[in-house]
Amino acid sequence: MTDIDAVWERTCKVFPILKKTLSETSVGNEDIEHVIRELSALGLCESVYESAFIEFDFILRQQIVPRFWKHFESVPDPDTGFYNFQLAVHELYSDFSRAQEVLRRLTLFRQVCRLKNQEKVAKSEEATFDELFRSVLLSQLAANFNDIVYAFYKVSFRIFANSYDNNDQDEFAEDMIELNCNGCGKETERCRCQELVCAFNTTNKHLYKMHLLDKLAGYTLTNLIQERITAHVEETCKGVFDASHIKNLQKWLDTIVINWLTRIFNRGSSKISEGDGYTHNVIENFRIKLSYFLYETYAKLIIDQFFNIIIDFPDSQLAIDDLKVCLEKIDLRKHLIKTLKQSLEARLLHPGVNTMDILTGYVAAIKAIRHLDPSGVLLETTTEPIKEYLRKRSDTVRCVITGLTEEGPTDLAEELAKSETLKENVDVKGKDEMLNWEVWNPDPIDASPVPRPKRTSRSADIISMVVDIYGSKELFVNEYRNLLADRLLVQLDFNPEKEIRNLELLKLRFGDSLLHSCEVMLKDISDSKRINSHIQSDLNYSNGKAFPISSLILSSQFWPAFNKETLELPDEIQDEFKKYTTSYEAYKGNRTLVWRPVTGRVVLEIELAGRTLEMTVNPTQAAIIHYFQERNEWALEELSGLLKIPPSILRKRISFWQTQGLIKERDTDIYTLIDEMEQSQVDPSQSQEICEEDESESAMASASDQREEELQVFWSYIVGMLTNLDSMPIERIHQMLKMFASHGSGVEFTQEELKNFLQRKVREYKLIYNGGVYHLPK
Amino acid sequence: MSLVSKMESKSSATSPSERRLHKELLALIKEPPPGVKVDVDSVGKNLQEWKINIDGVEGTLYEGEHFQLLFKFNNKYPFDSPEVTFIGSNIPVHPHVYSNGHICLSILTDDWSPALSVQSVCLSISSMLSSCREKKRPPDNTLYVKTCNKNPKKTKWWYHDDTV
Amino acid sequence: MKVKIKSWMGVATWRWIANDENCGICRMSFENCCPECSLPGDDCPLVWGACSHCFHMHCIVKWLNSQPNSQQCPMCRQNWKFNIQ
Repeated sequence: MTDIDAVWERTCKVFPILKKTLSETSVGNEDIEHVIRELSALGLCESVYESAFIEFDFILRQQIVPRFWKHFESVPDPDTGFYNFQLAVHELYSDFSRAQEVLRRLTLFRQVCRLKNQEKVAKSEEATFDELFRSVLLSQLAANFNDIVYAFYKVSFRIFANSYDNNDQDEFAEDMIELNCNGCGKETERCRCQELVCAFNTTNKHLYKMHLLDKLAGYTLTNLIQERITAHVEETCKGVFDASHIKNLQKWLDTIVINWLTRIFNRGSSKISEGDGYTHNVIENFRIKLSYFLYETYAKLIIDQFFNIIIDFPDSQLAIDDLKVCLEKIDLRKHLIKTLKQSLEARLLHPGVNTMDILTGYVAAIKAIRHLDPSGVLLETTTEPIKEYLRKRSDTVRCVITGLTEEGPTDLAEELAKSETLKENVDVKGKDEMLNWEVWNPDPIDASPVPRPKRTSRSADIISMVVDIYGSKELFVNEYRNLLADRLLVQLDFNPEKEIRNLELLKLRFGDSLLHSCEVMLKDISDSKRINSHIQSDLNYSNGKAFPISSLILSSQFWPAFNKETLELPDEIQDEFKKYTTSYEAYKGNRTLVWRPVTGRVVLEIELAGRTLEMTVNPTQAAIIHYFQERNEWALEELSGLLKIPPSILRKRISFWQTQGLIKERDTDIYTLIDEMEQSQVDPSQSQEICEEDESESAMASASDQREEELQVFWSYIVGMLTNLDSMPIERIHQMLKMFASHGSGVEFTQEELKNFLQRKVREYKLIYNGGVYHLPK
Repeated sequence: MSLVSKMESKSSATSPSERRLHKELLALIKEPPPGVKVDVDSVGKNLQEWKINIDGVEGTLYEGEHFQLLFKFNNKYPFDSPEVTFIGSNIPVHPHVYSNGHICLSILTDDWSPALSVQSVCLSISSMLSSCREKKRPPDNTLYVKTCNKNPKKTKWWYHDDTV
Repeated sequence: MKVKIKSWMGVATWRWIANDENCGICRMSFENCCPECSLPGDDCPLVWGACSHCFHMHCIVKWLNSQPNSQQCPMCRQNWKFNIQ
């Protein structure tokens, strides 16, 4: 055996790593120093030192790391997963510990022989090894590694959280006969929580010492905790809007989550020692990140349920208050607007929802959203689609009026009873803004930058918001007037006292002048009753009448435009109306009546073979059947001439009697009374229903007809203006017309509407558009 | 104009005289009589002061000329007559029209009737011009213009012969 | 078949029997009220002069009261006399 061989033998004894093993042999420091001197004499220090690290690399690659990862090859159940991980870490740690001794000797080696490159070696042997250790470990990362780490910490968290819960709810624990431990899932008697906690703490300690805690577990820990937070928030807060949760959530995070994390990073202890700035920092960073995550999760949960919160308002106020707190920390405005719009659309704005419910939802949304954002900007942005949708529904005003005047789910009646006028509102608001300038806040950046003249201010009250569906209170009141007219004349199902009370409330709200017409309309109805009874008591009249007439006598200037349908009553019926008029003239002196024969309601008794029908029909229907009393068969043309009804409309009116089974169309446009044998076969049960349906026709001109008429009035002004001023741009025309309208009926229209109208006139060659201005053709 | 006052002007808070003026304005814009044009801009600014352009009638001494009248109304209108003067650079040379624009016309003071209107006053003035046979100022023009009140309604008119 | 009318509820508008549509003083429709009133008809009646011109009563009275020296019809300048019918 050569000297060199002997030296190598001794060297390997001191540094077993050179023989690719970490097996320790206990060697005294003198032996180590002796070997070093020998190597030094041979000039081999450097190469031995370096080969030691080469061998480390080899052992790590070939033995230690593969062994560690081998534990993760099979997909384990969570239980064995926990032990697998524990065992793997344990083995790894023992290798790691043994390496520490080798490293200690290498340090000594370096110091003793003052290796030339000593200055270059900035890092200690431990640091070099650590680096090597981690990089080799991670380079061989097993695919399902995160799952196993996840399983490990999940079990731990469950046990930890459970121990907290048990402390919190001792009184409950006694009531419950629990077979299994909530923490480890084993039968209560065989609970292994204690054991698991020990294993957990040891494993974390090992990982910590190997500087692997963050590298191996950091990512998974964050994921796990976030998942736990999400689950916890869902469990405790979902569907519960009448309580504030923020404090409890924050407490839960600070106690359970942060304590647990502290134990992981602080080697099993929940108390960080004063001097340990590093751990303190790590935990603090977690706390900040997780707090944000908690708020974000909670805010999103509330936002997702916001529709239900709206419906529950005001019971859900606390949830909204919580959301406000969250939104101060995290900007979720865009998400909120998007989600809210979507849910409103999905829940309210489709044909399956009736208008009253949409309106109720709208009112609740106003209240809830305004509670969230008093500036009104959010409200404006999110509810615009509702307004747009409601504008398209024909029964919206009816529902608003019903809502305003009747007890109901919308609370509008309550709001109306508060009876602040719009005017006062505007006034107060203006003053407020000046007085409270110190607390003024700018609009949020997503506020519409377009100034909104003439529109309800953002902070206007609920009724204004509802009325705003129609663009202005003038248009709204106009719709109300049409509705009232219809109810008074056609439906006749009104309760005068109630209508008057409603009107009084609306007057308080919108001012007397806008509702002046409605007041006259209602007065007409009550006056009519008095006039009627006076006329009935006029013996000159009542002795000579063929059938009883009652009438509604209207002040034409105050009612909306009537429809233009015509009807000439048979002479003998007209005579009766003349008698009534004569009596009226005698009573009222200098005044007379202009009858609107199309409108009204007639009760007929029709005698047929063996049976008598009593029906309520409209005057046109009555006149038609009256003629069939004289003659069995009529040609459409002939009847049309007598009744002064255009054939196309008359045909529709006759169809009423066809469905009643009294008249048939024998030949094209030839109508015959069905003979009495056939009649008896007709089932009369459906008659009342059809009759009612027909009754719903309006006595008033349709809204579009009225609009057209208004536009025609404006047309004559436009022609007048253009005659005077030659040519004008659309803005000027609009401005002028607005000025005229402002002194008149309260009719309003947008510039867009005007543009369409003018363009139509251009197409009709009644107007020329050139160079941005309109002028009349010469 | 604040929102509040705008709302007030819209409602029945409008005075009776304003309502009547508005009706007249609409009628005048809708069916303007020949040669009479209301200056919509001026009226839009102030319903109490109207500027109206009238054209000299064809075949008269004033053919081709353009004049401007200023109507001032008070809130007693139409029970009180409007104050009507010629304004602008072209004051018609006429025996009943002073060079300061004042007009000697009885319906503007003593013979005013609430049944008269802006339109009928314009037509009266137009026909007064049309019936003129010689363009000249009133004989007392210089003295009157020096001494008169700014408001022609304060003048005690001795009405000139209508047949001038 | 026999048709008997048991009752007829008709709708009519009232109107003044006058030879004009609008009041010559306030220019409002006769069926409307004068600018000082809010309810038409009984509450704001028409009156006729001997000259046969008619006005809202409130309008002509206001005019006559503003004319201390002469009482003329605004339309025809004849002496105004109420035509009591």
